[in-house]
Amino acid sequence: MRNGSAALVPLLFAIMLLFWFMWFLGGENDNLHQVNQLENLQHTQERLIIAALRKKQELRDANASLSEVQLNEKVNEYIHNIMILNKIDDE
Amino acid sequence: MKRTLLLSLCLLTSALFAKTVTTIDLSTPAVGTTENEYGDRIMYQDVTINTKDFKIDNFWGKFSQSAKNQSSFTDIATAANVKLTIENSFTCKDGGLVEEGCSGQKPFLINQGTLDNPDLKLDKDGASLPAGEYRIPFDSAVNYDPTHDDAFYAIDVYRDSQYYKKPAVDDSVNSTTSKNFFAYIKAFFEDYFSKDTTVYGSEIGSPEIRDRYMANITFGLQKEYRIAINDLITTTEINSANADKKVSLLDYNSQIVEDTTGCDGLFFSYDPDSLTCKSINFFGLSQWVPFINSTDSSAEQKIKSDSVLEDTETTLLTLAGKLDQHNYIDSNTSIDTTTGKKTFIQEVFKPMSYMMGSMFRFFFGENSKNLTEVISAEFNFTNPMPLTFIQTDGSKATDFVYFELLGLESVYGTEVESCRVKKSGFIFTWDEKTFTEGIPTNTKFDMEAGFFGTLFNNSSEYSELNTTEETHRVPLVDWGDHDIVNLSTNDWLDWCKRNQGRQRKGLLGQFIENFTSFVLGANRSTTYDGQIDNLLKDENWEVVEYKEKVHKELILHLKSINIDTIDTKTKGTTTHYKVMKMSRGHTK
Repeated sequence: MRNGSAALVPLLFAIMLLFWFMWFLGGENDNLHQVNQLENLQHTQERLIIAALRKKQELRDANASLSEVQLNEKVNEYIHNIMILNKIDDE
Repeated sequence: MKRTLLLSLCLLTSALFAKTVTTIDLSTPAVGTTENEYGDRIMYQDVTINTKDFKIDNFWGKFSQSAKNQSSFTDIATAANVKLTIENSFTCKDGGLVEEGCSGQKPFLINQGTLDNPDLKLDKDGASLPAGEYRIPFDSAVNYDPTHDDAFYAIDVYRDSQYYKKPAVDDSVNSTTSKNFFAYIKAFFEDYFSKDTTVYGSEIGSPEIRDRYMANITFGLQKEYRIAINDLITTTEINSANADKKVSLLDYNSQIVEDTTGCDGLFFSYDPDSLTCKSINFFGLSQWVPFINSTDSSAEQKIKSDSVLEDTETTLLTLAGKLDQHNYIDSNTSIDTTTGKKTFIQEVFKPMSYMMGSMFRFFFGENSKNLTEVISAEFNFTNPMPLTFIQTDGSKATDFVYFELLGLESVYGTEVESCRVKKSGFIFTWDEKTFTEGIPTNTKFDMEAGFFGTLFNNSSEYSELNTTEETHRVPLVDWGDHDIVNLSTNDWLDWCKRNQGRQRKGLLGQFIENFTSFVLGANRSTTYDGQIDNLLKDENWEVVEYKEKVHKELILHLKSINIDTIDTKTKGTTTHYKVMKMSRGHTK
């Protein structure tokens, strides 16, 4: 093999490209990641709307003496717990 | 400078370490009141779910300058407008039915103007009920007339085999794996209530129509075959519902034939533990049951019972019991020590003093006959179950009527059928007669018969009775005019009713009775009934066999409610939710 072979140039370019790509990916994926996580959260929220209403009805059926405020508190708790399970809310 | 730095540091850390919490806002009152075309209550509610301080950890941030390790969003919210459909049914979940199999409509029909009938606003003593309350009796389909404003009727609405959800193949634990609907519904009733369900014997099978009707009461009409306003209702036909959404009236009957031992006898359609049977058993302990002399034990008692009515009653009683978590049959029965059977406690049945004019139709059809006695058993429920009735003008559904079921009354009326009597006394005066309701007879009693008849005549003894004079002319001797007392069939039957239990008193009892009546001879009765009693006792007549039919009627104690008062809090309703509009952020 000869010294200073020009054949190393594309290889070096390739390695540089790889590093650039990592740098680029890191930044762009941050955005993608955020969008993805936000989308997930929104979807979870959307799905919880009906679930929350059902839960409220269930709680009411189970204990008719609960007041509206108490029911809402319990539903809040329920939603919060689901968000914890989904690793969104902090405990 | 130092302070500012510290403050900003504090702010930064608090923002960074603020807990992520999701809250839901349901506090906005439900708005919009309306009903859909099937008579269900529709409400709308705004819901907002809000996540505060949502943090996203970024793995790639470790590799890149432009990315942060963690980013935080202070406020992510989803707002929605949800449509609430509130149906007056609550058993669907337990039935495991698919949603299509359930609805709030019940297979009960009332005519227009029924709620204006003042007769229905009276209690069983004839006093006014509180405003908005009604007592609406059941009437059978054969009596239907678009002008009747005093009853509700059962309707036949098709069901696409949506009776219950079939359990999974390997579901051996589930007790409701029964193949037919009836076994299923029976298990369902037994789980919550009692073994009071009336069930056809397995060898006979249960007609499709019965499955359908009870399923329609229990789960409500199937969604696909619900009745919308202006849908046709064929009131000229019975039991002809079909998949083309034809709705007709419904009727089915069954007859119980039993022997004198009560419910141990032969049943075509009734469980010995059924409500009807228990009632008959109760009657057996009192004078209500058809009385049959012990010398004639081969005679059969026939109790005709309308099983549409039975099923309506049993089903509603079960549903109400389930809603209240209370077994109404158990609480109203006790073990009878002499028979070891469960019988209704006596206080349950009370004489009914007020009967509306149409009561006879409910018992016998359009040709009214004689009801001798009416008694009723009342059940009052804790949680009134909401029921949606369908109103008709005779040809189509015009509206929906909303009620709460406050209670129900099981009414029994007895109709005299026949009475066999015999005259005992001296050897040569033996005689036997049978009087049948509806066949007029006239029995003459010569009050001045016999050699000394005219001398001992005391006309005050029969002053109230139907008396005629006859001239008896025997050759050679003129006996003069005799007072003749005429007794009609009804007189005899009434007397039988009053005296049917006399045989049970035994010889001693009879002796004492005869003795006192002899001693107190001068102090005789001045009432019509009393004079007949005395007359026939003097003539030595006694009841051999007295036959009555027991007829049954059902009255629902209902409270009319406005649809606005039905909401998600109403007991006995099922709410379905549907998102109408969903948006991100706090705007709706």
